[in-house]
Amino acid sequence: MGKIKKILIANRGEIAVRIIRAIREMELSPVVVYSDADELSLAVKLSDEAYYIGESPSSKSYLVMDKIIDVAKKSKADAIHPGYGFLAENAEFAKRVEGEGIIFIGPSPDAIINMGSKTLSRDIMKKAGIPVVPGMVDAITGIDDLKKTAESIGYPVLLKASAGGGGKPHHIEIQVLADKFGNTVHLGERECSVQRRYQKIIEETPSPFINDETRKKMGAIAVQATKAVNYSNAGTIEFIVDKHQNFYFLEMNTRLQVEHPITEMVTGIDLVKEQILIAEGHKLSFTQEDIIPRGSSIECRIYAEDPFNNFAPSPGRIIEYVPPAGGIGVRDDSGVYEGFEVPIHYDPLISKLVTWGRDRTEAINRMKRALFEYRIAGISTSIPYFLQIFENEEFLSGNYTTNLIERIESKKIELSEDNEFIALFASGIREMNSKISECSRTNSDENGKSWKLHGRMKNLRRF
Amino acid sequence: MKFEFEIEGNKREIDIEQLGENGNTYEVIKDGKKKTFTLKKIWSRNYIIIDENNKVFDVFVDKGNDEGRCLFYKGHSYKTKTVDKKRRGGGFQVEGTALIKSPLPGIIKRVEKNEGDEVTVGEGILFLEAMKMENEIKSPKAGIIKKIYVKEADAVSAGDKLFVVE
Repeated sequence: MGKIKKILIANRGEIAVRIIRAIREMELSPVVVYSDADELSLAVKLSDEAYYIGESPSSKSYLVMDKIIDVAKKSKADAIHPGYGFLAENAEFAKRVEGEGIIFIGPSPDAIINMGSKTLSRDIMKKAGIPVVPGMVDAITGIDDLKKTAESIGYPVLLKASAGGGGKPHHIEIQVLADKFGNTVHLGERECSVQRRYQKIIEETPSPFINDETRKKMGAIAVQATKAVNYSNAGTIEFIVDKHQNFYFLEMNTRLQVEHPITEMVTGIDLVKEQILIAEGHKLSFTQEDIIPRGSSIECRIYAEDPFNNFAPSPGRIIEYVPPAGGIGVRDDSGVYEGFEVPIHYDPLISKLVTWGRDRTEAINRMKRALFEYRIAGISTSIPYFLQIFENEEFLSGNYTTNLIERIESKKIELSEDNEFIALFASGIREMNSKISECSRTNSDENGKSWKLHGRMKNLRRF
Repeated sequence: MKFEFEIEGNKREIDIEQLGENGNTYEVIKDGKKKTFTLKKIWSRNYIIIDENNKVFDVFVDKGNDEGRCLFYKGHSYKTKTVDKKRRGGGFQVEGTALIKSPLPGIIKRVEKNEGDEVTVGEGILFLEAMKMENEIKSPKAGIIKKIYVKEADAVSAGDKLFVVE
């Protein structure tokens, strides 16, 4: 393996920015690709080189392997980091990149194929002695769905109503790192049970639900599972955990996860840097015993969506943006800035707000403080909804499962007499201001004209 | 100076009077109630307002197409709108005809109806894709679709005409 000097990021948004940061701290050079919608993106601004790869729809830009490989060759990049989504778990892409003599920062194409298929990965895990979900855990939506599911897992099938009875499970995942020499470690768990429409919105570590014994067992099993597929690089083993703390392998994600920062906050290990080092052929510089998670960390996924309008997407120009940058234990992994137009073509994630605390309560209170400080205008975001979740007793108790969000209604704070007074006063002042600025704009236009006129007259005189 | 706004759908009137020539103190009257505020203007749309009890309000007033929004940076915002006295009836309703405009910028995914089709209230007319989510645009009233301005794969901006129901 050659030395990596220049890395192409085959992604966009906050994750491209996140990867650029690791690359720069390693004193390497970041190269980005961009579509029409991203020509003014933060990733482009922070990169050393940027290459246009096509129209905004990802099918015409970020998903086109030929274009990305062409840029890698043209820019003489030594490696490609795929981020998450897009081509991150595409075995063909990984294979083609390697075929060009470029390092793919991720696992081998074989590992991607084996773990990419639900049935294949479960078979492999079963053979390796890993406990596998004994059936489907996803909701059955209709008769056809039921038939298909039953055929895939085999009859007889036991049906269970999701309301009442069994209860909802927890969704807990373990971060793993493995080098190319078989050294494999885990970096603890992430509790991902706060989900809305099957999308994770808040993640935390450690999980307030599992006990130390389960935690230890899950870590060991995750390492065993990783070794079973000869895996190298960063990966995540997802488990379903029931109320008795029994856990079952669900799937393995063969990429960097969106929620990786909370693991970094408690372990102090930069996962992207480790990915690059592993891909370059280095041995892990630490063992399992060296990894001692400290404190508690939480992440909120800040989406451009309107929590008071059924979470409808809210793309558009950000006209004010002041993220909570200061204070101990706050990290804002954002992909936007003031003046940037959030495009309609991609995932609405604009930022991941992450806090660390010595314990869960401190991490939560710090998150509430950071959310309070976060100023975004021009688009709607999920921030007000997060503030409501952090007031919810069930969440605060730590005793919640995957259906928590169904019980937290997104409620607008009532317009109090005081606030109405202020809102009307401020709107009146704004109205007056826009009238004043209209006048001054007219004036400055005239000024502009007179300067132009002055210039023309000067030019005339030069004759 | 008197203003009329619609705030969260309710019409309200206020009277704002600046105290002193170039001062930053204002007297505000609403429903016969009088309050005094100190206004610190950061930029034409960012203000810090301090009330009589020294309570701080960090406020941002955005102005969208027709609609403004008053943001309180404590996790809440309110929709505000200037009441235009020239416009009657409000909304998009014009003599029994409804013109539906795009609420979001996006791409037309599917058009489910044709011009001339009869539709009921709440019936889906077309799907607008924005940020990987499909949004069904429904008819606000029963009637006949008189005109459809868009077709599949069209890109639309917020406020672009979509269709007319008569």
